[in-house]
Amino acid sequence: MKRRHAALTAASAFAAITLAAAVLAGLYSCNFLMPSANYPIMRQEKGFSLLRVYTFQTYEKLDELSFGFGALDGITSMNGIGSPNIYLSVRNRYSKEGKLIHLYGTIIDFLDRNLEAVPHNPVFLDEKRTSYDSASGFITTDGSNIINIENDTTPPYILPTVLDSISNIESYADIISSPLRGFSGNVFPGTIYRGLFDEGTALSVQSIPVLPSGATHTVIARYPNAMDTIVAGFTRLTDTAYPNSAFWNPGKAEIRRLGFTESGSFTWFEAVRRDDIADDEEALLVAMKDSGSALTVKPLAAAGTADKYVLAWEKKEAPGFRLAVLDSSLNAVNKISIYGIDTVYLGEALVVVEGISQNAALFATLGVRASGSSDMREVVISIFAYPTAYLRDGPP
Amino acid sequence: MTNRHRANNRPAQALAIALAFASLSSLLSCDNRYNTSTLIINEIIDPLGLPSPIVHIALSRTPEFSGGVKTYATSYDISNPSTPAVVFESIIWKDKDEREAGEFWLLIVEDSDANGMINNGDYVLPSMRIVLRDGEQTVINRIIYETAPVMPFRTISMFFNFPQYKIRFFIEDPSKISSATPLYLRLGTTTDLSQTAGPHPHDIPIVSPALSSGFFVYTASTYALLWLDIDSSGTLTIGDWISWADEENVPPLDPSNQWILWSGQTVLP
Repeated sequence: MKRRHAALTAASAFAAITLAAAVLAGLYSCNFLMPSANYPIMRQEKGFSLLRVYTFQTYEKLDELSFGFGALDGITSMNGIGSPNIYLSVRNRYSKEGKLIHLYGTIIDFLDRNLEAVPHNPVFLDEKRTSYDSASGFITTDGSNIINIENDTTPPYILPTVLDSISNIESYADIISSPLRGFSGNVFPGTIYRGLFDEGTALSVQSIPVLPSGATHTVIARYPNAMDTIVAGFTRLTDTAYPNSAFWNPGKAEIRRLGFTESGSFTWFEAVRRDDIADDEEALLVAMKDSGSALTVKPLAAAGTADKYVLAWEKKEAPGFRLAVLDSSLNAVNKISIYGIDTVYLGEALVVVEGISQNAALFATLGVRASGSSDMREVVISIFAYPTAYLRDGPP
Repeated sequence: MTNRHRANNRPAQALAIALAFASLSSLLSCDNRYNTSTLIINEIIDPLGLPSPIVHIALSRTPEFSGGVKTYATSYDISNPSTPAVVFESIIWKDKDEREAGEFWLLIVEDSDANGMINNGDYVLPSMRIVLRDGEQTVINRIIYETAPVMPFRTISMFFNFPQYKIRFFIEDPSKISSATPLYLRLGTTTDLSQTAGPHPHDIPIVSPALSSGFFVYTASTYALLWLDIDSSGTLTIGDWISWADEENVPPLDPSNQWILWSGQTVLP
């Protein structure tokens, strides 16, 4: 009897300890019973070629690593030599901006957003509005200007250069002083820059040959009642659902990312409405044909331009990411998948793939390798190329 | 089943229950912490009297005036003494960033051109930082929206292309801010922001301790000073607390500023 009682007591103690441990694990670890993400370099589908691998070590909490933005350097995207220079950010769940990284050759530079020459004056760059510059670096905006960002290598600070003020660009709009709602650059043949101008009820896409602007922009296409058409596409964040909000939305929706393809003859952009308190966002992808004949709106999130298509995320959840290849009517002509803890579309560049110099869509994928029992972790960034020739029909 | 069998199964049952409970608790504890709070603004007044405008009010997670739909937004008729208090009930937000868990911004705008939307030239108060806490009710007894026709102005004619400045500040004793002893945000175009060098373009009064931690402002002014009117004189005088020790040589604004306002730094004789 005593032995049986002792066995029961031991069993109860075991159960109690298990319960306590399980509860603690549940409370303290969001990864409890979740699959471990430990993929240094993921194998990709046929058609992808690995261009480069970059690694760096860190003590930071990187359990929930993700990319912020990714952008290609203008000059090296078109020289067809190796992997172009790349700018991207890597962040964890606690950081809004993340580490800003410049990848070039075999080197990783961590860029400091704070300019030492101007204390307490961090460089602001809009990570959601990046695009090509025909020069070194990439372009974005600081809110008031279109700026070029490049790596000032010694020491590795960000070097921001104002290319033009937004007010000056607006002063040369076809209808003078129309607000500039979106902007993008291009390194491929054709228009260097395109801007999206808000003309009240209409939106117009205008080509801008050079910055700073000095002559009236050329209208590529004009779309009457465009914003009303776009806004009608929102289903959750509507004016009806937020009755007192119209006053605060003079533009009806935020135009976030904009891109265009000369060969595909259309401009695309993301129209976004956001409830920042509920942390809810609704994004629409809009395509405007250069012919002015159609404006298409679909509930998709754009990745970027590739050849005569726009790529849009269909699934963005580790470890499998899927993109739709969309034509000028936003119809899917193909789908491609890429794998990693996270992935970001960098853009199109001329690179050597399978011994041939050809244009390819470039992606960065993220992997992590734990270093034994140490707190140190190795972050692995892999650069993959997918030839644009495969976009429509896949690899042979 | 014998008692012995039951006894032998108990650890396994306990383990199964523990695993199920742990799974549930881990699911519930993963970034799913929601907070609720209430904000009340008892009154917005214009000390100069009637007629005063209707202002639009929004509570936002970001200090910028436009963009995004506003979950908590309303309008307030300053001229009408029977305008009810503004009550934003059941404000629900999720802890996303631990550093700024309860940070919100109160936005107040006058639709100066009455076109039904915020745009260039509308008059605004600076975006005012407010920290809400889970399960608590925050009360702002009074906001001053004074339509002063001469300098120093009490509101700002805002243009979206103006430079933008964030001013975070710590005040030694927020309870000292009241209608009798307002906190002022002084904006000017010269380094000398003393009273004798004035009047300066803006002296914007804040009379609620709940609004005593930060401002975000679009302005053409390049210098700023915070001061607490300890002697209730309405002017910057000896003994008033100031955010910069020498009000005659104030440094230019940075895009992001962090200041301290305390009893050890006052206007000297």
